[in-house]
Amino acid sequence: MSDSHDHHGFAHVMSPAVLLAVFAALIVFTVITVLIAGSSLIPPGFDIYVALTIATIKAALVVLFFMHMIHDKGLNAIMFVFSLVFVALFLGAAISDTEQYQHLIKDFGQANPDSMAK
Amino acid sequence: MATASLPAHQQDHASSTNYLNCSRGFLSWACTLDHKRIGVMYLIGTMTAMFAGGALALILRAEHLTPQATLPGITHDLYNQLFTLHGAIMVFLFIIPSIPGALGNFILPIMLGAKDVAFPRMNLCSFYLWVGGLIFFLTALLTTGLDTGWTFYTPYSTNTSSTSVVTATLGAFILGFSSIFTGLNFIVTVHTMRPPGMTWFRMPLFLWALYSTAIIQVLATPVLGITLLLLAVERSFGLGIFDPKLGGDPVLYQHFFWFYSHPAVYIMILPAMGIISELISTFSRKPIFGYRFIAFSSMAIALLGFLVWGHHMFTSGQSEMVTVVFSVLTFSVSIPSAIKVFNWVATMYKGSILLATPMCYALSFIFLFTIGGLTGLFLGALATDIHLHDTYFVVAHFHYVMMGGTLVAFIGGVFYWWPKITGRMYNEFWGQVSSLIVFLSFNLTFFPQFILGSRGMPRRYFNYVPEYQTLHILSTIGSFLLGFGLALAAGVLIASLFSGRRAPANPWGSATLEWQCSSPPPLSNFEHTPSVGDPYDMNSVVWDAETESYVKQQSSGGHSHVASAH
Amino acid sequence: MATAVETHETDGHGDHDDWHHKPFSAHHFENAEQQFDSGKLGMWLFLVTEVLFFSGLFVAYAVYRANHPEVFIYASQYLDKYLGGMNTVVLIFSSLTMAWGVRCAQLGQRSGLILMLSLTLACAALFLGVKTFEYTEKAHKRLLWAGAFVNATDINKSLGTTKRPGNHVFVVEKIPKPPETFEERMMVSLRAIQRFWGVSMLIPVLLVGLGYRFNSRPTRTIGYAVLLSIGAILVGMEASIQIHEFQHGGAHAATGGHDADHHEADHQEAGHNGEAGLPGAHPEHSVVAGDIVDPMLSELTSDAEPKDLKSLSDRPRNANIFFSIYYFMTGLHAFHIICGMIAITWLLVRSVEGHFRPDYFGPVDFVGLYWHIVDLIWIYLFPLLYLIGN
Repeated sequence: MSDSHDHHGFAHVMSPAVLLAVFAALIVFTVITVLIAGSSLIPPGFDIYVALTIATIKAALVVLFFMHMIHDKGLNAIMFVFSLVFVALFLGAAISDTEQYQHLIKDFGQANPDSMAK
Repeated sequence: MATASLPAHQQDHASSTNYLNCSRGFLSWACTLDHKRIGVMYLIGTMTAMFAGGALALILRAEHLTPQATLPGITHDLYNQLFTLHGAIMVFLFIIPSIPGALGNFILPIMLGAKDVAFPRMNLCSFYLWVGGLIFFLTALLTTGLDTGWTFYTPYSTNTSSTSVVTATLGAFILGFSSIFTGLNFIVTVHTMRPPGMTWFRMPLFLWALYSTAIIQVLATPVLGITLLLLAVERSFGLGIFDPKLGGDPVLYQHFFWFYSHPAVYIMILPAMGIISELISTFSRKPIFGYRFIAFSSMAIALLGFLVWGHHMFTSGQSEMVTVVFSVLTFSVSIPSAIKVFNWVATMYKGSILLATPMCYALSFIFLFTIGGLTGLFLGALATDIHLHDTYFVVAHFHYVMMGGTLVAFIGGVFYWWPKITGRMYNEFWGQVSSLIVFLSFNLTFFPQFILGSRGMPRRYFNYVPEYQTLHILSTIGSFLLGFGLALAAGVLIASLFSGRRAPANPWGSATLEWQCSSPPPLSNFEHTPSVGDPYDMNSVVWDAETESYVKQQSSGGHSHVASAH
Repeated sequence: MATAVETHETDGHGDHDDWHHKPFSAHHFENAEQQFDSGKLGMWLFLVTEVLFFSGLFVAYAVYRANHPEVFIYASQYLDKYLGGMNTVVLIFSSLTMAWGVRCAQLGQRSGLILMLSLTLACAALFLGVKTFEYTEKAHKRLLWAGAFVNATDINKSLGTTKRPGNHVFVVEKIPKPPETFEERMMVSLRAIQRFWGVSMLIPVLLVGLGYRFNSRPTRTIGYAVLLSIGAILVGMEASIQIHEFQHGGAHAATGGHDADHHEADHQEAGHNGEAGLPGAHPEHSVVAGDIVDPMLSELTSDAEPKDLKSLSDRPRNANIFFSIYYFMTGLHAFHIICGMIAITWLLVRSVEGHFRPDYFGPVDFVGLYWHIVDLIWIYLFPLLYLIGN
């Protein structure tokens, strides 16, 4: 918001330099995430966390610059972040519940092998 | 400032033209972008849905007069379809859209002092989506029916049921978008369309309630959308996510479904609470007690409502730890609800209470909602829920909240704003009689169901053991009286259209903005800029015998200027 | 516009009357800024609903991935991470052009806006084209959603009933084997679609002609805009076909080698999984697109007993759940791309007509936000679906 000459009308105008820099960063992150997927650098089981971290960095770049959130009204940002909180709530509750009753399904499957799909 | 941009012809004929007579013909209604006309169309539509759903309910109750089959032609299968359609119509076509769609659309912009909602086209689209959902439901009804219950639980809905599950699911999907559009519109309107002087804490509590409701609509309804879409694809192609045969998880479906449908319960009740806040304050002629507490409790209910969905799944195979957490959280919702009830009662204390028809309904609401809320605590407690789950106790509980709460408040709100919407006063005496009949017969219908449920009568059963018959007969008699009471209320309102006297701008002495414009309001709501003040300052309006209306008192104390007068 | 803010707070008579007489100003707003802010908040709220709409699928994904990680590790090896990565780059590029388009609209640069929107549209078509090839390849290899392989008699046996009338569950006893020329046929139909678009270009050409003949500017501009958007879509489709041919057509041997490397890597890192991906009987077939790779699925599609019991037993139970999730997530995402393409075409028409100006560019900004959220969802879908392993 400091560079007032970038304000045109009632919204901020992104400069080409910022747009291109963000694009370049996104491409770099995409290449990185493809290259390190399946490599032995990452300990087993951690690949999803690495991939999601990179994806989140990319998403943040898109939201902040391509979607102008960094120059936008705080309200719009709050609304968007709010939605992520509710997604986390939904995700957390569903996973923590289903994980705890998986052993029941497994036991049932072993007791009744014909009842389960292949 | 609003007047400056009005077309000249509207100012010239401001005294005679209003939103009802400014244009004529079918298309002037079907293509209208005016929030008031859309609200009226919603009102007619949802009321029709209510009477259709009610008729189904009466068939269900009549069926229970005897322990075995009672009515000729009502088979077990048909019974399943009837209660499913009763539930689905009442939930998706009536309760969820009724107050926001009908009263909210009509009142919200006027109460706020705006010319319209932020997105009038989207508003009209929302109504047509409602119609589209209705068509899908009717298609389901007229083809093979629907017998899954309004909850569409898997795997019954995907693998076993031979009824029109996909059609009904798509109907509910479309209705979800209708609800989202309404909510989205309201949030944006409240945020960006408030005129100068209308601060957040000068907003009437009905607006706070609608705003809280809209937040739930926007956050929860998309999840219903994806759930129903997954269900439809699951049933059509065998997606496998909810189907245990294919490695899926039916309990996961219930998580998906209740993540929307429990907050949806608050979509249903919050606007009703907003109406009650207006009614209690107006007819006690006292400022509302604890304005900020009520406003924040609406927001608290909206947010806490997202944390409790698991209490629908206590007996569904949900894990123990999650069950305990959800049970504890469930009790937290009772706190903001209790704050509201306390504040309404405190508002009435030492007020000069006028028992007009809307107030009679509001008092019924407080009584019935309190019973409904308190019985919810039994169901939220884990041990008692095992006994009461899926019994008539649950049926009675949610009817006390949804019908005794939402429907009674909706009718009270319709009576309250009827003079504003139609410009006609109804017969006060018969209005009061209707509220008395509704109150008494409601209790006769549903109180016996608490007893039935605690004695073990399961819900959704076609037959029952003979020892339950007496209570069932009481309930059935009550239901028919209830139907009569609601029909009487509708009759009183419809009769007023033909023989009611002209309504003054402010018949009740409320200080909120919608009573400052004429009845019915002009097309662009205000001929003169409304003066925004404290919405509950009852001393700011005084009775004017000449116009038989309450009028706004200038701060100097004189009757000099009436904002609504021509 | 700064003055508009001040007048709004004082008496509002200053310049909104002027604003009310401009085109596309809605009567119930006080000024252009209020209209823009309302639209923007509305759009963000719509994005909130989009996020929650997709959240259901992410929850389904997370629940199955957390509880059955072996399914995801096994099944995701059938996805081509290079195609997915390329599509990611395409979408990111389209996001760049869209963001640049918003900039052009804000600055009133009409031709720049038209160029950027056309590029975005072409990228969208390219993305969908690549997706079509991916889907086709999966379908050809019978890598389908869970229910596509359920034996109808099995379901009825487990339920203890016979198949009910009106039950729409899609159950297939034996998937008919697609013709050998499946790929070619797909290519033929894609070319047919291209020809359809090519021929339908006559309509906007006609519109342009009529616009000149009768001197109707709107007709002319709509014609140009539609011509432009169909052209962009054709370019995008052609690009995806070229990519496909580059990968599978001319350089057959090279592609095969690359696929083999891919499977070889799997083999080394997770021995038995790699085995499962390569039925012992036809090692060379698995590397050529168009053949059945999954032993489980080949068992289902032929009456013969499975030859390689070891690899079959290594295949995790319910592996097709992965493809259920894959098809639903990417399919819903593709649907959003199509909606975005329609919206961009609409913008293209309006920008050719010159509707957008520095005090009215809301629609470009709002569609831009939508387009970015679609990109955002893909940014998550790509690693979650394509980059699983080790």
